[in-house]
Amino acid sequence: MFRTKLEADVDVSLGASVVSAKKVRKTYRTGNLEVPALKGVDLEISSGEFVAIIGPSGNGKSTLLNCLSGIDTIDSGSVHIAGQDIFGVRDAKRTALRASMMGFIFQSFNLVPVFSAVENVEMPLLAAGVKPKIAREKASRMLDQVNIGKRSAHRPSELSGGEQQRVAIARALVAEPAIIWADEPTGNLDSATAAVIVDLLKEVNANGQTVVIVTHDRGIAKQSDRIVKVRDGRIESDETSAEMAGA
Amino acid sequence: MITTAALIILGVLALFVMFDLLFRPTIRRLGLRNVVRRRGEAMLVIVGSMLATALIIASFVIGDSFGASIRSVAETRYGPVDEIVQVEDPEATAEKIKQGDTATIFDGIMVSRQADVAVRTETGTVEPSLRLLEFDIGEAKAFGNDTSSTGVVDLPDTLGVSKVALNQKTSDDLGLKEGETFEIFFGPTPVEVEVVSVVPTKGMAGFGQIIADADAITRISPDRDEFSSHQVLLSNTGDVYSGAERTEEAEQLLDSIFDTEASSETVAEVFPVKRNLLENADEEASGMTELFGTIGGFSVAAGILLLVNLFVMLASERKVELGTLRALGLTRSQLRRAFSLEGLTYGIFSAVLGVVCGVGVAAGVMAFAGSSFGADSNVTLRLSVSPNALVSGVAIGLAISQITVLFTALRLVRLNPARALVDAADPKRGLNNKIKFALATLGVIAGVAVYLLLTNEPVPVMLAPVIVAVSAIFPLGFMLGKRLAAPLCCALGIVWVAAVFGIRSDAMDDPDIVLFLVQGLVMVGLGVVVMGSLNKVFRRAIALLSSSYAVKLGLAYPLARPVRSALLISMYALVVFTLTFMSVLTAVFGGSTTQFAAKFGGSSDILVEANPASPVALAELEAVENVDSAVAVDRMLFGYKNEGSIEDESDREVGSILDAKFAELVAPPTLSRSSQFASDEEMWRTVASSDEWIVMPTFDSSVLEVDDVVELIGADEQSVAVKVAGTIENTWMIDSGAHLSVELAEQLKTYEERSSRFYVQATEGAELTVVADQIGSRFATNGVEAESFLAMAESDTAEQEVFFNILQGFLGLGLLIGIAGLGVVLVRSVRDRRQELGMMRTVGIKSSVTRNSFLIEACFIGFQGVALGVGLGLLSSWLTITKSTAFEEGLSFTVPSRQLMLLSAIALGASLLAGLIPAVRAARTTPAEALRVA
Ligand SMILES: Nc1ncnc2c1ncn2[C@@H]1O[C@H](COP(=O)(O)OP(=O)(O)O)[C@@H](O)[C@H]1O
Ligand SMILES: [Mg+2]
Repeated sequence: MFRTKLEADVDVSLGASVVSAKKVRKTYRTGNLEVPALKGVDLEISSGEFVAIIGPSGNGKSTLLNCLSGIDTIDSGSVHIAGQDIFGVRDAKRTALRASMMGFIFQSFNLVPVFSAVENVEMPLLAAGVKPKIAREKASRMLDQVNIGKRSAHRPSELSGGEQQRVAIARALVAEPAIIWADEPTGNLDSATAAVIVDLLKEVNANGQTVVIVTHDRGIAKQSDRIVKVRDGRIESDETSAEMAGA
Repeated sequence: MITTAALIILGVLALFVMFDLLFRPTIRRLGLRNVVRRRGEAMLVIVGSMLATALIIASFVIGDSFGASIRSVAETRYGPVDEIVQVEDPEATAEKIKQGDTATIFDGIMVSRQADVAVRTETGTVEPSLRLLEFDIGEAKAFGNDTSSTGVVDLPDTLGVSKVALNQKTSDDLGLKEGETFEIFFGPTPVEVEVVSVVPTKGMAGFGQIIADADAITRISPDRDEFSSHQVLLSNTGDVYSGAERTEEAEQLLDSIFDTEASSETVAEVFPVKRNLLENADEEASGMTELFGTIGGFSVAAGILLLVNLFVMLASERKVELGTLRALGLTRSQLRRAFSLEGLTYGIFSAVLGVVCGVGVAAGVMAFAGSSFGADSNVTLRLSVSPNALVSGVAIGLAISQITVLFTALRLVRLNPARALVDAADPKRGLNNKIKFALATLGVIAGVAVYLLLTNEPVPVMLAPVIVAVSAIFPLGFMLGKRLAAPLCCALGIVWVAAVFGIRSDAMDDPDIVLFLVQGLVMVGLGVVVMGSLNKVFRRAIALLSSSYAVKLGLAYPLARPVRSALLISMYALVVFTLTFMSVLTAVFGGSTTQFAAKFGGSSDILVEANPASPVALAELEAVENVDSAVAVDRMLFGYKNEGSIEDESDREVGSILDAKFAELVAPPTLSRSSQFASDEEMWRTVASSDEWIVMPTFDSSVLEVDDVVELIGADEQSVAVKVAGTIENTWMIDSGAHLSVELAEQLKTYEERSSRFYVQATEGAELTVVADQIGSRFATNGVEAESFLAMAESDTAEQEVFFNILQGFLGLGLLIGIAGLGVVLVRSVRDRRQELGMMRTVGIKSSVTRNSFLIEACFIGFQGVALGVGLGLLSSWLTITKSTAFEEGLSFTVPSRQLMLLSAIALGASLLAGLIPAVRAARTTPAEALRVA
């Protein structure tokens, strides 16, 4: 019931605005120390885009990603995901929204160490209420797709860094989310493995899924449709690849 | 001894740590900074290890307090009196002692006379039995070296005719004040006396409840001389307490004085009352310390597990950090020493807290015991804290915690820096198979050898087969697979340990309480292994029952960390085991009162004690309403010898003289009976009319068995040889002693008819307490006290129950350790798993799911601990009660299901509570916050 209601609210047809951020501000407070991380960010992302967020370290890229996806709170402004004001609803609804339409990949893979690879991957499906048996099947198929189907019964501590990230990607993709958020997914990997992972992301993007990736890697950024440059908590530039090519 | 060992260990450890503290700045910084890094958690570690120290200290303080309370009776009851010599002719004896060269030993020699009297006040209050003590008060005031300790210092030298003094306690009990009069019954006609003074309850005025001038008893009842007794009171040089140190010398001196006496007309019996009291106090003190220490031992063991757990967690949290330090060139030993320094710092803080809490707990126990037992006991329980107790407690507590820290640290620093740096699991580093096999063989051989060699030592007999079973796990693992071998061997071990009391009752006779501690520890240890092997089964079963993600998550962590879980489960199980055991004992004793009553009263219902000076006629007693019939039992003193051995010739035991009516009406059940008799009835009938047989109380059954020949010795040394027909249970409550026939008693010639005891059978259906009260009030001035056997048994079990409750409360503290431990572990888990939790929340798992998973984890651990503890506790108590000789025979096992349910509910509820804080915390953090690298 919950899901159908949600789906009714959600409009993710290709080209429609899927992420819409207005005047987003976020300041970290630790003790009496204040770090303004986002100083009024406006950003629109359309369905099916492959967006790269770049910028020097410590300038607010991760914060932006976290605020857009709703895993962190904002001080002011608003974020709409597929027409839903995500900070206008309760945490439970935000959580459900993530389960139903978002996938996440992080620099540190954040796998659950006491779960096997396949158990890690099926997690978002189970969270979204998929039947355990079906979830297990889908998760196994997803692991095959990222080429580590053979390691599906292994625990993260028994996998290499590249393998762990593949499991993490499988986990991000398994529910076929409308949006995939990736925060420096290749930061901990060698360039060959990184390339494989970017290829995977491009593949899903080709299927119509929106990908938002924070990266330091110029090469990866160049493969995107659009590059958003963040500096000092603001968007310094926002150009499509075509514009860049033209410039 | 343990304290000394603990102090030595601590001294050595402290030396090393001091060295590092002073001369090794890196270690000092590392160790001390870690202490203050997370204050909240440091507090938890301190509280966790404090509980163990507190319990140890409490055990010592409780022991000391019981000891000191009993010791203080030396003042309230004896004062300057060290020995009491019971004699027929006190004046002559006192003279004789004075003439011997005794001035260096005795600083007080005086005569006194006592009689047991009944008292009636003007308001009608009757007290059937009080001790009237008469002596020359003037002399008494100069008795010993400290007049005030006599209690009579404020009295005039003579009180006057029909004038008495009361001690404070008696005055309070009877509500009698100075100037008031009351009646004294010593014989059928009362005498009115006046209270001229109320004196403090101490010294001679504590021993005698009523104090009178030297000729008072004769005045009250000129014809009852034979019912009073005379004594010479002796005071050794030294004060109230130190005087008793010279008792040995005094005894020897008295022996030589009485021995040189040619005519054996004087039979002088020397009672070293004060030394006995003080010895008894010391025994009681160490007994209590041992009891509380052992019971507390389960909690202390739980405390050790908690410490291990805490340090293992600490280390796993700091794994990357430790790896970095190792990579930077710090040696293992340096890391270990830093840990030790950290541990000692926690230890010192926890010792200080432990002292405070330990004394607090002891104060609580003493206050509760005082309010429960205090009323009708002549010992006033009070708290007594000696520096000795504190030093011992701190030393042992600290030594335990520091050794634990040392061993844990040794294990922890064995990490591989490279793997630690990426926070990867260390590869399993087992011993190689050859060494394992050698160790297993050695274990089996050692176990068998120990079992065969130390065949009568209870602890080795209990443990050796367990060692064999555990050693066999490895070789058996080859045949059956390790999955099966470990639980199988451990289960066998449990069966052995549980059943050993029955199987090897020869070696387990009269088991020491420490044996139960060992039994509990071993059973729980083995049980946890068996439980661990069932984990897969649990997981399947639970998965079948529930497909909730919270359940899956809640079980995943404890199942993935078997060692940590096992430690936690053991903590719970240890405490619950003991609580279960004690609940069962309480229930079993409580449910056996009718049985107890029958054991002593046979088929009679009420025991009536009268004052022989004011005899009650049997017919009068039988005339009381609802008294069906009664038997008078005369009593006498005699000595006995068994095959040449004799305890002490002057020691005489009390005996009951039985007739045919006793055999018919009372006839308590026998514990053992000669094969000559087909039934108890037949035996009693035969003994009642025989001069060959005697029935002995169990009291002496360690020496005597049925059909043994015993030589009975009368007052004039005439002896009669008899055989033991059977044995019966003896108890201080009744102290009926040996049972022999009138014929035998007459042969011993000390017997004169003097009925002072009756066994009464009430009419069917009559309320026993009512009948007993009727008898008591009807004959109160005869000094009659009547109580039903059932009431005696009940008050005895009630007392036992109170005591068990105290012990259970004490143990309950151990449950706190378990709960605190679980709480700490889970709170830390939230930190440990922060990123994972963040990730789960990120992918859309509801916060209620992560919250519930913590609660489920807590319950899963708690449930296993409770199940194991209750299960093993029931098994062990069942076997102990039905199969061992540890307690009286014939007890029937009962399961106190209500209490056990309550206990389980409390333990489970508490574990839920322990999971609550971390659960709420886990749910509260935003995913982004949780995902940040710490
Ligand atoms: N939880 C936090 N508490 C305090 N300050 C933070 C926190 N997270 C990030 N910051 C600060 O906010 C700024 C932006 O951080 P971040 O978004 O992580 O930058 P980037 O991803 O571009 O490296 C930095 O100055 C960082 O130190
Ligand atoms: Mg970042």
